[in-house]
Amino acid sequence: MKNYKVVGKPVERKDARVKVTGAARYAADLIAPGMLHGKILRSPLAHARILNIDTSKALGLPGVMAVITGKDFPGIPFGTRPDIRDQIPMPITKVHHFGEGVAAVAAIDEDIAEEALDLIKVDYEELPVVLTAQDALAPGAPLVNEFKNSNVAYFSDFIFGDVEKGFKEADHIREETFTSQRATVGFIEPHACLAEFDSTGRVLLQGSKQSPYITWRHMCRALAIPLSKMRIVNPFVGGAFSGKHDPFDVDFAAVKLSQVTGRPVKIVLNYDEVLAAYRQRNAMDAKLRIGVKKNGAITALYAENILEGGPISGIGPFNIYFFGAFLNLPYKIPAIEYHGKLVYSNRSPCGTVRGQEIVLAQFCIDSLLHMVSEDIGVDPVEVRAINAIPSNWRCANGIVVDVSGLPECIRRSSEKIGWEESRKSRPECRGIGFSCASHPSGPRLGGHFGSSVVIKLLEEGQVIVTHGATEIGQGANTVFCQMAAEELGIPFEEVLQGVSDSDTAIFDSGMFGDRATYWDGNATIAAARDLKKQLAEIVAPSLSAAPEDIEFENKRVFVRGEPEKGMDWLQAVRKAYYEKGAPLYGRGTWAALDIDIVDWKTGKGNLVHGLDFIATAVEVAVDKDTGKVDLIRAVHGDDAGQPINPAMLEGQVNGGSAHMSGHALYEESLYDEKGRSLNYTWRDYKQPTAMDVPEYHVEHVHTHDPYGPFGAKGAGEASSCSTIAAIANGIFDAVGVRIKDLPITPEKILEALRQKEGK
Amino acid sequence: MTVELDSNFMLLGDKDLKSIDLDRPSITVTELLEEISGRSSNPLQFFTRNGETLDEGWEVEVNGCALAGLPEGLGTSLKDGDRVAIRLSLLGGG
Repeated sequence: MKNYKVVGKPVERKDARVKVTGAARYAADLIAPGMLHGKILRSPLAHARILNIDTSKALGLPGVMAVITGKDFPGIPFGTRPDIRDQIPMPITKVHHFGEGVAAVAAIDEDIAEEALDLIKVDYEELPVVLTAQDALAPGAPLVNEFKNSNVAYFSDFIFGDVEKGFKEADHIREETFTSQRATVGFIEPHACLAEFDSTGRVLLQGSKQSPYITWRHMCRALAIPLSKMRIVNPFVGGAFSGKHDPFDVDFAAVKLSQVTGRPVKIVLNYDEVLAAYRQRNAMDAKLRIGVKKNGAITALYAENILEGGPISGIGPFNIYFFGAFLNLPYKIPAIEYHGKLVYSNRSPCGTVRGQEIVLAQFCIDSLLHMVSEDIGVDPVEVRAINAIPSNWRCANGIVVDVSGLPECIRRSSEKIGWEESRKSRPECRGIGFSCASHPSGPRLGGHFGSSVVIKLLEEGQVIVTHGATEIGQGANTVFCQMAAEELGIPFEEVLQGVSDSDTAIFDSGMFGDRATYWDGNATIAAARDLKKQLAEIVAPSLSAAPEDIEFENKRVFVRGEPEKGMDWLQAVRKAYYEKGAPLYGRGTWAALDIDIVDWKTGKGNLVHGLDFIATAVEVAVDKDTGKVDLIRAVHGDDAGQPINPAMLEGQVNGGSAHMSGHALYEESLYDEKGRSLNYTWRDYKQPTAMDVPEYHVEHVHTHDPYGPFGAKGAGEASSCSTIAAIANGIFDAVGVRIKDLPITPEKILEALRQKEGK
Repeated sequence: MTVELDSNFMLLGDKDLKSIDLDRPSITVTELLEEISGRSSNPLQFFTRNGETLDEGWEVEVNGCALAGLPEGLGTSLKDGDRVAIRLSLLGGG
C-alpha cells in the first residue's frame, strides 16, 4: 500500500477552529443592509380546503412590508422525478399537513412579523385525514395530493433470480412483519435563508442547503425564472442528513417577499417548526420471508414494504427503490422478490434520513436473520459470516462488488466485542447483538449526476479547491483539501477551501448517498492532475525535460529519477505567473460512466461502485423492572476502503450509529387522530445525547477500491444501516424478547417480558 | 406502424410499454410523446410551458441519437420500426 503523506492522516478539519470558537457564519447569522424579517403562518389543520385568506389587517400593521400566499407563485409543480411533480411552493387550494405554511410576512423586525401572523384570517373547510398506510390504501380514502389521482405515490416490483426455486431449496423458512415509526431528520441548525434581489432582477439566496444545485433547479422551475436569474451561496450548514435537499416554503417565501418589497428578507425557523412540519423519515410496514439452509446460508428472500411518506413524494421513489434493489447487499442472496409502495398521507412530508431506507431494510433483514439463526441453532455471527458477500461478487440483480472487507469486518467486530467469551458467561440481562450492512458510494442517476472541481493556483503557492459537493459538517472540505495536497505534493496547510457559490463554484448533483468523497474526490484528483500538467509544461523546458517526466513531491517540482534536477514549487508557480503571465486553474470532472443508470422498472444492473461494508456489534443492558435499555459498547468493523482522514471517518461511523440509536430506542414523531403533531419541541421529542450513546470502537478494515480516490469508498451511512438491528438483536440476547415494532421503548419491552413470563 | 420504446421507468405510470402500434404511416416525436402521455395513468409533462421544447426532466433518443442531435428535434418524423428511448433526468437523491 502506498505511503501517503497527507491522505490517511488525521489532519485538523479545515473548519474546526471557526466552528468551535463560534466564528463560523451560518444562514441565521447573515445580515444585509435594509434587511427585513420573515415569518410563516402555519396551518392548524392537517387536511383542509383553503376557502379564503384575508391578509388586509396584517398588511395594515405598521412595520409590515408585505404578505404573500400560495397565489403569489406561478403554481408550477416541481419534484425529483419529472413524472411525479407533486409539490408547489405554498398551498393554493388546500393544506396537506399540520404546520404547512399558508402565508408569509415580511416586516421590519421579528416581533412585528410575528404579530402580523395573528392578523391573517384563513377560512378552512376541514377534510378527513389520511394518517397511515392503511388509511391511504383503504377503498374510498380521501385523496391527499391534488396532482395525483391516487394515494399511491410510487411503487416498485422487483424480481431477482428464481425465488420459487430458492424457497424450495430452503431447509427452514420464516416470515415476520416489521414496522418503523415517523422520526425527524435530526440536524442541529433549523432551516434559514436570506434572499435579496439586485438591480437587474437577479436573486441571491444564501441558505442552509444540503444540495444547492437541486434547490436552485427546483426553485427556478417553480418561480418560472431562468437559471441565470438566481445565484445560490451556501454559508456554513449545521447538518442536513438528507433533510435539506429540496427548497422549502422558507426559501420560496424569502425570495418572493424580497421580490415584492425590493429589500433583503431573512427567515429563520425555530426548531418547533422544523419538528412539526418539515422532513421526517417515512413510517414503514414491512413483511419479510426468508429461506435458509441448515447451515444458515440464505436461499431466497421475499419482501413487501409500504412507506407512508406524507403529502408529497419528494425523494420517496428513491426510498422504495433503495429498499428493494439493495436487499442484494450485504449478504449473498440468490433470489429476491420485492414489492414496495410509497403512499401519500396527511402527516409531515418525508424525504429520507441518513442511510436512506437501507436503514429500514437492514433492520428487517438482520432481525430476521438472527431469528432464523436461533431457529436452526447456528451461531448468529457464523450465519453472517457464511452469508457475507466477498470481493468480486455479482449480486442477483447484477451489482458487482469489487472489494468487500465484510468477512474481516465480522471477524474483527466479534473479537473486539468478546462474542465467544460472552457465550460462556455474561452478566444477567446483558446481551450482544450483531448486524451488517453495505452502502453504495452514489448511484448513477439519469441526467444531473456528475461532479466537478476547480483548483486555482495562487501566486504565493497556495491553491484554492472549489467543489460542487456541500460541506454539511461531514468534513468534505477537509478530505478534498487532503486529496489535492497529496496529488500536488504540497502541505495540507497550503490548500485552501473555496466558497460554495453558484457563480464561481461548479455545482454537482448533490450531497447524498455517500457519493461526495468518491465522486468529488475523483474530480479533485483530476483537477490536481490537470493543474500539474499545465505547470509541468511551463517548467519542463527550463529543466531540459519533457513535461510528462516532471514530478511533484515535497513541495518540489523535479525530473523523474533525478530529484536534484528541479526547483521549488514556489519557483515553478512564479514562473507561471511572472514569466508566462499565466494564472493556472486545474479543472477536473468525474462521473461513474461505466455503471448502469438506475433502472426504476427492474432494480437490475451494475448500479454502483465503492460499496462500503460494516459489521456492527452492540452490547446492551436491559433493566427488567423498568424496561430501560442501556447501550454499553459498540464495535464497528468498517471497510471504507482507504481512510482519507481516519479521525473524521471514525466520527462518521460513530455518528451514524449514534444517530440511529435514537431511532431504535425512543425517537418518534407523534400525531393525534386529526394529524396534529404532538411532540414538536425538544422537550418532548427525544434524541440521543452524549449521555446516551455507548463507548464506541471502530476497527478499520483497510481495503483498496479500484475506482475510489486513493482507494477510498464512501462512509457515514453504513453504520446507520447496521445499528438498529444490532440493538434489537442485543435486546433479544439480553432478555429473550423480540421487538419488531420501532422504537423499542421500555413499555414495549415490559409488555413483551410480561407475555413471555405468562403474566 | 410500430415504434419500439425503451425507458428506465414505467412509461404508463402503473405499467410498462415496450412498443406502440399506431394506425398511421408516420408520427413525429412530439406526437408520440403526447400519445404516450395520453395513455399513461399519470399524464406526463414532456414539454415546457410553451409546448415547443422538451422539458428539462426528460432525455429522449431516436435510434440511439439524442434529440438535440436531430435536425428536426421534436418534429423528427418516425417510421415503422424506429426505436425511441425515454429516460428520466432526476433532480435529487437520498
